Amino acid sequence: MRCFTFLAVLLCMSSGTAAAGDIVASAAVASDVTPSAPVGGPVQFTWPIDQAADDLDERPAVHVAQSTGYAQTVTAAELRRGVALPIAQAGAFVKLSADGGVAVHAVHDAGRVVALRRVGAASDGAFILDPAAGVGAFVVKGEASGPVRVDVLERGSEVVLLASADSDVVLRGDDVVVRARLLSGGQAVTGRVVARLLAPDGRVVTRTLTRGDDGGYHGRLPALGAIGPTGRPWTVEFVADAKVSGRAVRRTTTTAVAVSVPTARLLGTGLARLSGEGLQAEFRLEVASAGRYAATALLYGRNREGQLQPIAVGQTADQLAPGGRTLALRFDAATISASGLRGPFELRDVRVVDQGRMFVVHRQARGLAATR
Amino acid sequence: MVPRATYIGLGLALLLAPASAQAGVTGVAFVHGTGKQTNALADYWTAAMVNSVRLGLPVTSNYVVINCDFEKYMWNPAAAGCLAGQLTTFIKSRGITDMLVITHSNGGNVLRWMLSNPTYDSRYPGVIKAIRWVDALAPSSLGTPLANAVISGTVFEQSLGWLVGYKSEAVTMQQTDHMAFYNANWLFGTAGRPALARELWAVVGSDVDSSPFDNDSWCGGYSLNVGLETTQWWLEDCSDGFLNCSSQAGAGYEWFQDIDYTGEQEPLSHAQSRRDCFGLDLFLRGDLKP
Repeated sequence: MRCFTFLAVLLCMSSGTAAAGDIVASAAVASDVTPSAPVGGPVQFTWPIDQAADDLDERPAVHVAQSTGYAQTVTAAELRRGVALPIAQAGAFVKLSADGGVAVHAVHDAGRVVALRRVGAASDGAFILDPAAGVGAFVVKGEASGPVRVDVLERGSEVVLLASADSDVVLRGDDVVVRARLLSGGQAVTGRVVARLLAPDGRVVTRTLTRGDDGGYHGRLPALGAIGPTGRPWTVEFVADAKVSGRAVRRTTTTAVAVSVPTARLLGTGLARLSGEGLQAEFRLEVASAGRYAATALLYGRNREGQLQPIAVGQTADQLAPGGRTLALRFDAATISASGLRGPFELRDVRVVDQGRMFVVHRQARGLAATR
Repeated sequence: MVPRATYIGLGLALLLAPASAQAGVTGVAFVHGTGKQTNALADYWTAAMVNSVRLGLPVTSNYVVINCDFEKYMWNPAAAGCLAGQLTTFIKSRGITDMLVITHSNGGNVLRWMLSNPTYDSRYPGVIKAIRWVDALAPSSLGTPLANAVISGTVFEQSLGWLVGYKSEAVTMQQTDHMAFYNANWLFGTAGRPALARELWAVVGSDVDSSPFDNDSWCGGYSLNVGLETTQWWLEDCSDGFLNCSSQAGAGYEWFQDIDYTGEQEPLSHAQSRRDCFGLDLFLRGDLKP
């Protein structure tokens, strides 16, 4: 970090040091995605927050999808012949969906007809399996005129699939790293877990995940395909099959990952004291594609014990042309004074986004500008 | 966080406004949920609800019922852009300086987009500065598993068409995994994230009653409540038939859960939390006091 006095204010500049979990591009890259239309010219906005530092996550918490059920899509012919339903929880809820409706003829278990309790209208194709039929391999037969979605929900089941991606944002060209755990009564279950990354353009990358020493599964999925509709993350589907106590179980779930093009790169941040005791943050950017960019940061100050506590959120945005550009953000003296906190101040949780293309191009928890 | 106190007395629900309420010209805006509305007063809220709530205003004509296209993503010009335009017009035409915004369902997300991205649109700061706080009725802050199911091909009965009728952008957005991404990257106010630029207070619906022999099941539309009872299979034990309670309380602060204060401790289904059911309108009316 470099600090110097300029026009009677103390200015510190930092390019920061990225840490694991940060999103930092090595270069700005032009994008052919047409930006949508955020409105207006330069805008700055700040607001005080009274949260303690402990209330805020340093980095976004990983979203862990949890499932005690599964879903699959079958053809009308497959449904006519019979679709296998592995059931791990007695009294499971089953719903069959198809355009034009679906008629369920029967559900069998080892050749015996299983009693069903319909839920809602008969045309809904929703029913609960007779709890007395227990668990095992069931078969459902019915009639439909097109593809049929089969949902099996086993509320309260001890067989749970947990799935996540290490980061909810990856830069194009990077891999999506995924993890899954299949548990029964809290214990890891050995089976087969497949992950599929679905790009908005329909491209699919499928990987069978590798089992680790801790019983969990992991794998890498390259983010291929076109970026897709503005702001819509990609989907990762997980399908887990295993045997628990000799019986087949299945679980499915999804999580979401955004694939960004780093249309701008954060070169460094600055934080300067202004006369009147306000602070001005500056974000130096290398812009590759013209667009409207926003920088957001949390301003921290120190309490009497010298601990850093958040003071305010600040956000600044403007239309920027390609090249070296700067976004400025002023935190007013009244907000800082009202917080009761004092310097050295720091900027944390700095984020830069391409607003028109909805790309997250930079996300960094620490190591950014500070004043003395 | 500003504490809020709620009192029940003689069958009337009275809410005391925080001392920080701004002085000035008070107004209220009603922001609908998923759907493209052209007459949300009649088709979404009902006049009985709106007219009851606005009785709490010093000038009862200082209200606006928003009509926008919330089938779109929250940031879309037809969604948040439309909302910003109609609120700006309301604020300027009425000289509003103290605006309370009442949202329902996905309307809470659209407003939260504005509160989290004040620089996205140069009209947003003016709107935000006029807002006292937001009363978010059953907001879909963490999304709903029903949206995941619909996008994957599950078809729900017709009575749920107003919520999950087809694979719109709004339904896509309200998938639980998509909302987790938006909450972590584009929205404030959820656990571990910075607070919103204005406080958002959630009213949480906790169950659905749909017995034809129970008069309470008819408030908000009996057939809608029957449909919401079916969808509870996708949801946790505490839900309003469309959203888990955890989703409704997932951003901002929880103001109250329905049965804590509604008449005869009746739960508010997702269809009922936008209507004058079980005294909800009286709570909102009391909240308008400057």
